[in-house]
Amino acid sequence: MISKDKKYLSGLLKSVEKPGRYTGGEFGQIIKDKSQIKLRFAFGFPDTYEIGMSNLGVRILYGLMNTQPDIWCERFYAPWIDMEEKMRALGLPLCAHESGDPVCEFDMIGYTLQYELSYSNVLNLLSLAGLPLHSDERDDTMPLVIGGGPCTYNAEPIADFFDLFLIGEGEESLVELCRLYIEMKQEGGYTKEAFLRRAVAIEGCYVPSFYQVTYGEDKKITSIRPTVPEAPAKAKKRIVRDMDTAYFPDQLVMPFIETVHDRIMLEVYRGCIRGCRFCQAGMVYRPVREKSPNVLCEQAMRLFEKTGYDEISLSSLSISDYSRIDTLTDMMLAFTEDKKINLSLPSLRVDSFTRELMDKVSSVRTGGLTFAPEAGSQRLRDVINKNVTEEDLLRAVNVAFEAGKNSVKLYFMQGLPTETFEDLDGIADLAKEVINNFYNNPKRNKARPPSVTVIVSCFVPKAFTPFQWEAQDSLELCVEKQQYLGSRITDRKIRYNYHDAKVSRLEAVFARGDRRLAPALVLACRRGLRFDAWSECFDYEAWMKVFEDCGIDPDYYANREIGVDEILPWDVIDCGVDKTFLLRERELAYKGATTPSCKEKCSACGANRLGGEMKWCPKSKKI
Amino acid sequence: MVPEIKKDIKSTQPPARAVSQPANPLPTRTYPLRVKFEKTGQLQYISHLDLNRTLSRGIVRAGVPVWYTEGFNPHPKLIFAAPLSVGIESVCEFCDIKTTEPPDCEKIKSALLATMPEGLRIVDVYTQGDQPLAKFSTIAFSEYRIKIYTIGADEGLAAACDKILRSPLKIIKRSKRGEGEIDLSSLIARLEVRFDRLSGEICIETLLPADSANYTNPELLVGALSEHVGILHGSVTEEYYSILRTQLYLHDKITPFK
Repeated sequence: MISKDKKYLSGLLKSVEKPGRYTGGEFGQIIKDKSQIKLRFAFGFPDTYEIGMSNLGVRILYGLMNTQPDIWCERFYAPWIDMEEKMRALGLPLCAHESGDPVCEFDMIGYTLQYELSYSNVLNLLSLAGLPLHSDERDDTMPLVIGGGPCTYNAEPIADFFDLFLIGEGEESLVELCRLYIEMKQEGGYTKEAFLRRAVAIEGCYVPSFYQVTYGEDKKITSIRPTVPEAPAKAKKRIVRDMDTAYFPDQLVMPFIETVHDRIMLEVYRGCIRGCRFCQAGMVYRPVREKSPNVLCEQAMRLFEKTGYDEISLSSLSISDYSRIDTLTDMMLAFTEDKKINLSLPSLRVDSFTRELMDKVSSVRTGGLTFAPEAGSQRLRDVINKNVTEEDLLRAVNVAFEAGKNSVKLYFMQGLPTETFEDLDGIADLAKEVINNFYNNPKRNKARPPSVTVIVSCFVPKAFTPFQWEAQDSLELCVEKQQYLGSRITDRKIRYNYHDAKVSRLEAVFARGDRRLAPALVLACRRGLRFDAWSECFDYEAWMKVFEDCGIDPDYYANREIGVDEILPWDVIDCGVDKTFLLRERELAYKGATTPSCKEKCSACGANRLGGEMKWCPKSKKI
Repeated sequence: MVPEIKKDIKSTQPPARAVSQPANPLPTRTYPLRVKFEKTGQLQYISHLDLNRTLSRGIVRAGVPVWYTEGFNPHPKLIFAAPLSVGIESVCEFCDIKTTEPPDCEKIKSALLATMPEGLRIVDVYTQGDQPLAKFSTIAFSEYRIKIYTIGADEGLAAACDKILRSPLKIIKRSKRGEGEIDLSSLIARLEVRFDRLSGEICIETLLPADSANYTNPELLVGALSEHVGILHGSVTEEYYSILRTQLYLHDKITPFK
């Protein structure tokens, strides 16, 4: 993070909060001999160290890149505001964790783009590295700046700042890209332009500067066209075809300080069979590809030996949908009990919650319980295709109460398409019903009263979802709904938390934004806006002033229903799921009709085209 | 029935305890083991809690047959002597663990050396044979070496530092019993201040109380010098200081703790 050979390092580290964020030197970090290295890659997570170190994707790609003997992949994170202030005052450049060398001297900088609210940090980090923000201002001697991760499904707001995006899963494309770079550097024919022209032919690579976007007088997009013959009409998502043979790290960098997810994370499968209509991850990670239980157990055991972690988390979008969940948990428990390792699951669907699972999984046994009904009424749950009923939820909480639990967290979303105030009443009623079920359960733990925490977030329409055309509620309506729900929750045993609607509005602007937002990001960066996901830094009024000064109307992006015949900024990306499927799903939503999971019936979303092997889609239909 | 089994175990060790598996009511015999280690370089910036976690995971990685606590959340039990404040390095830290098998100290030492991050170097792993290990409560003093690089450092400034630290100096000291005013010089058991020409640093060697009732943080000396001699005024580019714990002593101030 900061240069290691400076004499005054100690003074600097002693003067900031949590210096362990910046030291590097963790067990498991990879140090290489620079003389053997042909490509130096700086992998950046545009948020704090504690958040960045918790990301499984970064851990996978860090390990994978460093399996290449001639590539050295290092890490960098966003310094917290106290450190940034000192770095700017002293003129210290942003440096990589492992070597302490300035990031601006690397061959490539790769950002993982996990959420829209980190865009301002992406720019701020480029500025801290001493690099020009715009890709066309960075010459052949400067590092290439690339990005990957879920935000690349619509990275148009930051397209001007990146040389290239990797669409989809980076395990293969990232290494191919680096090999091409090394080859061109060795041949001596490297220029950024020549490199990008060859790179754009690699499946999964999107070079935004090779596409021209035109706009009509009504501000809407009129065309997106490639400007070089090498660029395909659409950049196609890259996937890993076989998860069992896919790279998985056998060693992890062990943070000194406590991070958000400080444990072994096992990726059980990719994709999701459900298809909730608001969920981007459920669409863009298709098709479903599972790992075998024995592969997972081997990986878990190896990681335990190399890390000494006392917790293993089984991570996937909906873990209980894993087809061999019982086999897996039994196999895992055979060694986790002996090694005193806790087995944890991130979240469970209410329809899969059983006493058996609860006894097996220690996070469920000892920690709090969290369920996500998402909507308060059956009507709205059908609209969003949650496929969960009130009976499912009440059965699940009764299982928990009988096992001695007395507190439950319930996640909801507010502002979903077609939502009415009756649906909000449903949230309050459901929470109350959970309390009633506690008292009506004769096997409950009578020692303590029940407690229900209701957590409500605001709906943000996302690219490549059936709701991508929907408007977000206006800020005023969001706030009104939040206050209405607050007034409906009167029981003191129910706690009510809700997300800041202003943050969700900014997220919505960027989630469906286009290239015309770039000037706003530059201005925001100049005005010192960053860490928008942190309430102590987020400044809504400053953002609105930025949009106003740039002549940008945030309503156009966040609060407008987009016409189905409009060209979408992300139409340049092919994520595998067809627009016709998304439209079908949207119509079903308006009818309140649900769509069965992939396990029950194929809905012909189109994603199985990406791999071709039908075994991933258990009941796949020819499309 | 369980107490009877306990009686049969002949041990000079602290009372053995049952392991967490309810299936096995037999108490496991445990063997105390002391680990001496260094906490230097970047390790100085991690807190005591972080150190506990780092060391504990390293012990598990090393495959040491470490004893786990009983109860809801079993974890390796580590007990530390005189924990350090963040920003202080040390070449003599002690941590006690228990093993569930008679320990092979050399084997454990080399396994630990391979599984610890740089800056957390294992110096020694040992038992006291059949004797119990010396109690951490016998530690009375800690020796520190403080190096200060500051604008205008010379023999004169070093002498001024020496003089200040030897004269009565009221400071606010926080302890478990709350805040209180105390004369800093009365706490300093030994002091040697000199100017090192070669490095341009003021070097202070000092002995300070380290028992739990009177533990004195060496940062207090640096703070007093900054306030009363006017050194170290926050320029991180031109000034720095480092503190290293070099030894822990018993009450006689001569016998090093082992």
